[in-house]
Amino acid sequence: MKTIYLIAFDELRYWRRSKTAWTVLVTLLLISVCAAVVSNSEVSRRADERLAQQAEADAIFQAQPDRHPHRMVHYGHYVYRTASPLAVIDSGIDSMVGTSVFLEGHRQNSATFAAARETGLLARFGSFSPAFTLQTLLPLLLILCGFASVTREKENKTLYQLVGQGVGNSSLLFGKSLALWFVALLALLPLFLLGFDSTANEEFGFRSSLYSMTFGYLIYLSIWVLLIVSVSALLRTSAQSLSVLLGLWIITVVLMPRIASAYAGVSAPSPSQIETNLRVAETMRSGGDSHDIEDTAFADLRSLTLAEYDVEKIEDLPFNYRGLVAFRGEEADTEVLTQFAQERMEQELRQKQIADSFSVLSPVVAIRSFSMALAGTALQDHHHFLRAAEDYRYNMVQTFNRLQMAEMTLAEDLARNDSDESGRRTRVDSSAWTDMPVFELRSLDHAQRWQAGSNPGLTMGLWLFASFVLLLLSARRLHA
Amino acid sequence: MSNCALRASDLEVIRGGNAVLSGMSFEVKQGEVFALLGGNGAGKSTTLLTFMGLLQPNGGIAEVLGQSAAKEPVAVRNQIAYLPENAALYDHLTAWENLTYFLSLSQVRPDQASLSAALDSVSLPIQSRGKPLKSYSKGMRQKVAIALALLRETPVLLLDEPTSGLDPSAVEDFHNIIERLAKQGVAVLMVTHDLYGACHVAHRVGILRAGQLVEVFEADEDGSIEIATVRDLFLQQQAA
Repeated sequence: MKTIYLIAFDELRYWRRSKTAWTVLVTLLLISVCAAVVSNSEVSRRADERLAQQAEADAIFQAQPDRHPHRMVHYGHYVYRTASPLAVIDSGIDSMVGTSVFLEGHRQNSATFAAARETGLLARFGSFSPAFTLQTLLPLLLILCGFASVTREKENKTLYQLVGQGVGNSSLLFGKSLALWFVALLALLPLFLLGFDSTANEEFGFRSSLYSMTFGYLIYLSIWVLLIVSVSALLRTSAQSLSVLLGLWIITVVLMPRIASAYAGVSAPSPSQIETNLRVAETMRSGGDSHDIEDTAFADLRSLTLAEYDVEKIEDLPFNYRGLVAFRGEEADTEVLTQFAQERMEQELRQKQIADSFSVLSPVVAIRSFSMALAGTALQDHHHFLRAAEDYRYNMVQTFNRLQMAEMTLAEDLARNDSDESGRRTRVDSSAWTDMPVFELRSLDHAQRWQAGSNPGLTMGLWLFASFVLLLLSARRLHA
Repeated sequence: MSNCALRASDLEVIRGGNAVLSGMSFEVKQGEVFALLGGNGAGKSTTLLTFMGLLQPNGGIAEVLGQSAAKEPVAVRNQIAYLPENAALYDHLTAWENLTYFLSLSQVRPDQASLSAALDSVSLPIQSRGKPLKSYSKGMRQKVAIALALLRETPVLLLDEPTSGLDPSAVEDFHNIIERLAKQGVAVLMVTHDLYGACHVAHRVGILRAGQLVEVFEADEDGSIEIATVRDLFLQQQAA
């Protein structure tokens, strides 16, 4: 073990004294710190913006005067997705998907205002986030640091000297790996501290997720460290080693994630938005128009209700029948909308699974998925937000529909547009929306995030094992 | 008890399809200096690498103090100090740092005085000792490598063209060191082109040709080897 430490120490000393290696190391640390600072300010700004927008939307909604409840159903309300505290490390799909939903009756609107769509094409390619640094840039810089770690010893014949001192091949490669791993750890540290700071309030188990995420990144970087040292041990010259490692980086880091997404899109294509909207509208039309109490689609509801209350006419019911139709109509519409939304989410998850299967070919695909899952910025978190927003929308609309049933008679409701006075009689006191609970998104807990990250985590474990075996094999093949 | 430190028995090494060593046998006793002379490609360095366990013999055996170099390379390397032809040391380290680092790897912890003494014995200028080796000449690097080999204090010393790049005075110093070590019981196997140096310092000189030991000359009672005889045979073998 002591030999391994000595070799690692000397490797670090070499880097410190070599201008090239030192430049790479400083660049690496600088990038790491810059990514932490930039991401922290960007994510904080976005989070503050969303909070402010949510507060403004709540204030506008609650400031509405006395109104007919169905006007409030169509007036609608915006809800915003609060940012995960670990979005400072990995903003995941947050910047690609919408962060707010407009809630209104009879509709499930898509999430809008995605940051990437606002900032243009460059942000879609990959923002300068800590996750991008760790997943994409750090392996490259580790390659630049370590590609010659063993070939240098061969080229300068110092491998003879090392072997002559009784240093075993495995000790040599483990020592070189330890030095490179230390560099990776150094680059990871600022980002871990950033995550530690942003999860200070310990809500929803995000601190535990940070530890798991850090552990995942350590595995990911260890994979690269072992691959770099193995390749350097297997090849004769530094030039060969650099070429092979850069090729490996281009294939696994640059190409494979894009191939995975493209393949997922082709093999499980999503129907277009227009096509889906037409299908939803068609299905909902067959369920009737809940604004029209004479719509034949509600004939059964009318007869059953009259029978239940033992009255002849809907005017004799102890509540506003129009409100009941709106209530039942919303129920039916929501069932249709939820079914389509569920189909869309399943389709998106299918695509994600197909893309994730490429993680056996590239550890980057695995860490990307693992990191987003633990950061709470993955597809499942977006779906969780959409479901929570939909629940809130449904409860809000049905609250207004119940008010319509209870706070006015059918006659008053039907005559609401006859005069100002008739209109006033159908208005509900604004306290109904002032007192309505505001939308609060409760994030998934750590166990749910961990579960979502377990498969890619397992794949990374396999990658680590394979890299370790490769290192041992290259130690057996290494000779001066 | 045998005092044989190195033993090659019917040693055969094939590299790239060519027999580099074919059936070579010799022994080096403790306290003996054995020099192997040979032209390029005669198999001199291959012999040393086989004793280091860096090359696996295709036949025969190479033993160091009774241990097979092929089967127990790490144990064998702990008994050997090896001085390669081109001093394989780190350019980014100073002489002190090179010595300390490599000695730590072989579990040797010399004090400052021993380090200084070793560097004094190879006549490395004091003002150079704290400078990185990248500023050293080939001869100066060789001196540091020799100091390292001395500080290992191993019972066996393998030298590959040890005086290459050294000035005449340093060569003389080096020969004195080798003689002193031999008197202390260290077995020295030296491969070289330097016929005169070999005859001057070695107890026996072997002529190597195409992987075979064709002749061995022994020093006479007053410790010297007839240079002319060795030279004639050496040149004859080279011409053949």
